[in-house]
Amino acid sequence: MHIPDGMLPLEICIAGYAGTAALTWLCIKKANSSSEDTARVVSRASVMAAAFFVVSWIHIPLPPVSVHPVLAGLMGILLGWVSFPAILVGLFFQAAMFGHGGFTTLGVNALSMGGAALLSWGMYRLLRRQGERNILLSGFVAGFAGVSFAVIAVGSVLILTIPAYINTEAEVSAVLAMAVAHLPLALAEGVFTALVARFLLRVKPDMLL
Amino acid sequence: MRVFENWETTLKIPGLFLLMMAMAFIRDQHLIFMLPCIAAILFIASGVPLSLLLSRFRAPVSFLLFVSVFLILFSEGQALFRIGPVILRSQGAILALNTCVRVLSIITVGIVMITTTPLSDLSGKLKGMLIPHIIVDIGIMTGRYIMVIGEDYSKMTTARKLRGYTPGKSIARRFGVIVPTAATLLINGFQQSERVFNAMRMRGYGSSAADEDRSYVLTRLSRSDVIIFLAIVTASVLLIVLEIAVETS
Repeated sequence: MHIPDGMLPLEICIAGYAGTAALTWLCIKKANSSSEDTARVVSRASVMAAAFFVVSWIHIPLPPVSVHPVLAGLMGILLGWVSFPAILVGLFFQAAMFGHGGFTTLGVNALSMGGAALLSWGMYRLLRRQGERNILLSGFVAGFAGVSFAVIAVGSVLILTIPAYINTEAEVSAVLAMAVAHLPLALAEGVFTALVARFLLRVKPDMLL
Repeated sequence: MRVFENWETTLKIPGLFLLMMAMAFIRDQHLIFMLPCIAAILFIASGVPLSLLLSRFRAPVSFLLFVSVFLILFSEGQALFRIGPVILRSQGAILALNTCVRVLSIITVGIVMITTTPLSDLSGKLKGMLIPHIIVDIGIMTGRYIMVIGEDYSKMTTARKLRGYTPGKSIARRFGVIVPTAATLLINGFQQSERVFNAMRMRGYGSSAADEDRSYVLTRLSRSDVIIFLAIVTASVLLIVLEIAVETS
């Protein structure tokens, strides 16, 4: 799901960093205005980013294999605006510690994953407003949308940057194949997010935004 | 062999980052083979173990494989050879080779940058490099708490095993294990973040006096720091100029 270093042209890398800088500034401003305390934003984002980093080591069963959760949806529904800077920092650590993603592509990866988290959060809030009881549905939609949006964003960026002499039909087929290949992951992530959200609602409801 | 470890971080990070960005700019098939040469020189000078480099190549290899196969099979142009209905195209093969060389070269430079810089040094110096304080603070604390929460996870896993609990093959049973584990880690993280928040408030985080204390102080640079930086910047600019010259000619 992360684009490694060297896959994208320089212009896209710079545009990714510019977009990430703008969105980070907006998210911090929004988070500060809602909690009115920078210390709370920093503590919440950093400790929860670390928790998400560790939770991503847990494998979700997806027969015949098991996969790491992406957690964009779950981060969105637990952190709201803070999810974007938390994901940005988490992606930096993933690139530095495991070589997932990269430093030149950090901006683009943050936009796709962080954007997915914000979008999931928006959908979750919309569904939760319809009724307090539909935690499973809203959690599932958030988890599913998180993976789907990230896949679409990454796929679009990759396809748009592929040179012109690649067959156009093949480009479209590759995007479709990528989306279909990630469908089971999106479903598994949706189920995982829904169950975790229900657990949190029962045990510590103040964590859910 | 400790050139990069002793190189001042405030110059090392922007210098090597600029080089990685310049490498990402290269598309010409002749210039592309300069990239592994530059990466090899930096790697040898850094003294980073080869095993570490190879272990970091594992993550992008599957991605590279997918992209290479796609490029070779679906590009237009002269056919190299045909295996049944599959036609391998020369233009696609060149593009796939260029992509692999560029990706692995940039990753090598990234590994040199990150493994020769201690996290404590990196986080402190990032504040002087136009990175917002709030992002650097989140980074420093995330680095610390990954270890703490990772240890919690390890203890939970060990306790589960000691009690003889195995998830088995049933998907429902496996979800029954991973969901409470993940949720408990998140709850612990949330509670810890409240304690951290209170500690930060008590230490005056966010006050002007505390910000003054943490303000960035310019480190004295040695001649070798500047020479290495200029060499890296020159190489980066040269790569970009050569690529533009080739493109326009």
